[in-house]
Amino acid sequence: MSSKDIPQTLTDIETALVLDAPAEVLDAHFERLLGLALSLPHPDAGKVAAALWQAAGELASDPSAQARFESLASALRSMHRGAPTDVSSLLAPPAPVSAPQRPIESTPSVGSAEAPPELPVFEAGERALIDEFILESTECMDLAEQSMLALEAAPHDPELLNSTFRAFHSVKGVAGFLRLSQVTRLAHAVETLLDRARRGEVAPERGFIDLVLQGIDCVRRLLTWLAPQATGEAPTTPCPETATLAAAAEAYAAGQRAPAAQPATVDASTPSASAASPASPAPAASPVPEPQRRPAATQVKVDTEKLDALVDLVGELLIAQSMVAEDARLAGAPSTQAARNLTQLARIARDLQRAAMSMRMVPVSGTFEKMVRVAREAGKHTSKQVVVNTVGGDTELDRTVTELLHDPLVHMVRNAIDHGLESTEQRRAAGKPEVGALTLAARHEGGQIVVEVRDDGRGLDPAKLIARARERGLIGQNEALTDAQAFQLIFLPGFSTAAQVTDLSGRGVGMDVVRTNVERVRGRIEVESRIGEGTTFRIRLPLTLAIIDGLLLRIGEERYILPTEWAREAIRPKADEVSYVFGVGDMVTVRGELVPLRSMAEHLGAGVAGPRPENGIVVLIEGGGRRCGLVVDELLGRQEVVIKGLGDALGQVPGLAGGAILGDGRIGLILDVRALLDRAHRAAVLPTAA
Amino acid sequence: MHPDHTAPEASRRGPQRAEGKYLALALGEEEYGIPVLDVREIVGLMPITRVPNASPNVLGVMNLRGKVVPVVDLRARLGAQMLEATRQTCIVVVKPEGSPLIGILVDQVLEVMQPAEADLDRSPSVAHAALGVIALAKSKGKVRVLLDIGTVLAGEV
Repeated sequence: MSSKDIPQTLTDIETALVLDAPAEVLDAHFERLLGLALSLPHPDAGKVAAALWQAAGELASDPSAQARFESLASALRSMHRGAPTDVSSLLAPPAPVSAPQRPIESTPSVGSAEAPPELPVFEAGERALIDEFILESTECMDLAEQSMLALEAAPHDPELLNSTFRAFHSVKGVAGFLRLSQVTRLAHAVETLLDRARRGEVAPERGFIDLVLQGIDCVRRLLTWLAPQATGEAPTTPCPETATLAAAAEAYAAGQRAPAAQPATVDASTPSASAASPASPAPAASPVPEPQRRPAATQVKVDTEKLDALVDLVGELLIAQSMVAEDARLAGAPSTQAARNLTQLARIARDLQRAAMSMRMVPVSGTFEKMVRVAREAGKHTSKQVVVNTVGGDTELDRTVTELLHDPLVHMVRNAIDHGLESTEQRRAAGKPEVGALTLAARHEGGQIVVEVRDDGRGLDPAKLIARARERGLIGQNEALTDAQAFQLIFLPGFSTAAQVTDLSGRGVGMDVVRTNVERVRGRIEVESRIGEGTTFRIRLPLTLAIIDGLLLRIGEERYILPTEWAREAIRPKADEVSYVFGVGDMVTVRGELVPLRSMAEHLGAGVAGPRPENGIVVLIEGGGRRCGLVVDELLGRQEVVIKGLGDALGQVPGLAGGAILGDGRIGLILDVRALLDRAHRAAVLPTAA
Repeated sequence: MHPDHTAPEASRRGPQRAEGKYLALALGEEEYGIPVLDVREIVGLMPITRVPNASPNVLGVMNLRGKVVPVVDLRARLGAQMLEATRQTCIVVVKPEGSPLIGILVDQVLEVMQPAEADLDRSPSVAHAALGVIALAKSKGKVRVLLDIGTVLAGEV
């Protein structure tokens, strides 16, 4: 921590304030500033930085805060230069202004009368984050406690101090992000103390350890307080000695060995606590001794790799089980007992698979909550009023899908607000409610998960889309498109409907990236729109990524798997239904419509010539408004397979979506249907466009 | 926000790889050695699924107890003669540092050897780090090329 960064950090903060940067950016700057200030020799530097942080939080609500902010900033600059600076007047408790809605930092003047308990105002979306924070912080504190207790026996082990430091640092970081000022303050103080101990400036003796342990207990009590209150009543102050303890830690770190910390074993019945919480609390809400309520102790954290390994193994078990059953069947009629046992085995294996799969499932609400935040930021940026509704947040999705869905959703939400919604004036003129509505919905639909992003904005204009696509040379000048086809244009690379590039969206990455990401999780995206009424983006996703339902095809010597969701039908065309079109190749007439054909043997380089379409099987595939017929040797059946990557070594092989282990233990390769459609489509479209 | 528990990992390798043990392999008429530390297991020849559009030395993928593992024809890679598969033909599963599991098809696994430093020729005329040749080892009248299998396979799959 070098103190030469203070002016730079202050400049950063001032710039961020002028630019109205997001709160987390600002908080990060302030955190850095606080850290830097605490390392200054001036005893009050930390307090000045803290007061500055608070003043910044009040800038919007309190006109006098600006002057206070400026004088505090200049005081800090002068402290940085090492000039003697008297800050006593600056640090006098500010006149009780209206309490900031979101406490940014605790009262700077330590030791003054206990501030009334800060009631963190959680936004709807923050509850899940808070719960996660509680769970993880509890683990951190357990770890820190172990380390501290071990430190008593081994005071010279630097790793024990390091791990405790990291634990508090983690807690501080997230608490800062969640604006849990009490926790931030305390964790920061203890962290600073630990840091000095790490650098050998404070001896890790008994008093030190006691103080850190008190800090741990206090953080735990704060965490318990944050946990959802069973009674639903407003929580009271959780840990009245927080401020005292933080001050004591700061003082200790500064080298004032005087035990400023009163033995902080305060319980709910002590006068100070009850004085601090005049609204006499319901017994359940009062701070109970710590071990009684371990928040969310019913959950275990498991490495996702282990989970994946489990799912893999269960898949193998299923295959082995079906092989055993097959063997038994082939060996002749098994005894009733054996048959029953085999059935039992099959049932257990299936249940096991279901259980293993369900472990990977998480509710989509977490993602939705993040989107609500994204929408709020986007609304602020574009000065549009948006209300976000979420529907079906408890719908569960595969964890991997959720993660991969995040970026596309962010893009779609921003797009919806930036381009989809009209400005307030336009909405008023159109007779719509001034506040735009954005709906995020999730539901099950026929073995799939459907996620929708719906706005009630201006809607997509097919005519404009077509004009734009012509201008960009994405479609032929005379090509006629239906509305549905026109909507699909927005997914083409290089297509952006924004007239001008804005900060939020339209940065060149567009809906084509969204589609690619969605298709990467084997999902599909659809658009529905009406001019003046709004646009709905509908993403259809598989329930799980681990298993697909596939058609087993023989192509040359090898077997391949075609995901059933893309297959429409399999036909055996008559010779007169197959025609050769110059520049396109073979095409087949299906109910009057010409569909381009692809010889899979050729496509996959099978080494032998594939069958003529009329001698083989044609599997029709369809997606994104495109159709194509795949010519294969034989249709072997339909099978559920566990998808595997082709190994890290091969990575992505063009034309293939992965591999799967077939019933006989050999690997079958899964075809990448989108790539096939793209190629067929290009081949079919280019000659007409030219 | 997890505290970082990772302790510095003890180095698995000695400073000089060539001092360690090698698995001696026959590829065509020639013999090679690869560091035993990079070898995970040796499996018999098993069905290999050809992968279209993969690089030419990749034979395909095999099912190693539920894992999809690519198999490289080391003979083709090193330009050795291609022999018919025999009972000795097998797949050596290697995992060089920083690389995923890869199977290499070899004509025969000979032995594990630990060449004495005196038997190693590291002169720059033979040892080519960039080509993955660590040294030449003289053993029982034969010369074996000691390979850094990670370098040899890099870019192959």
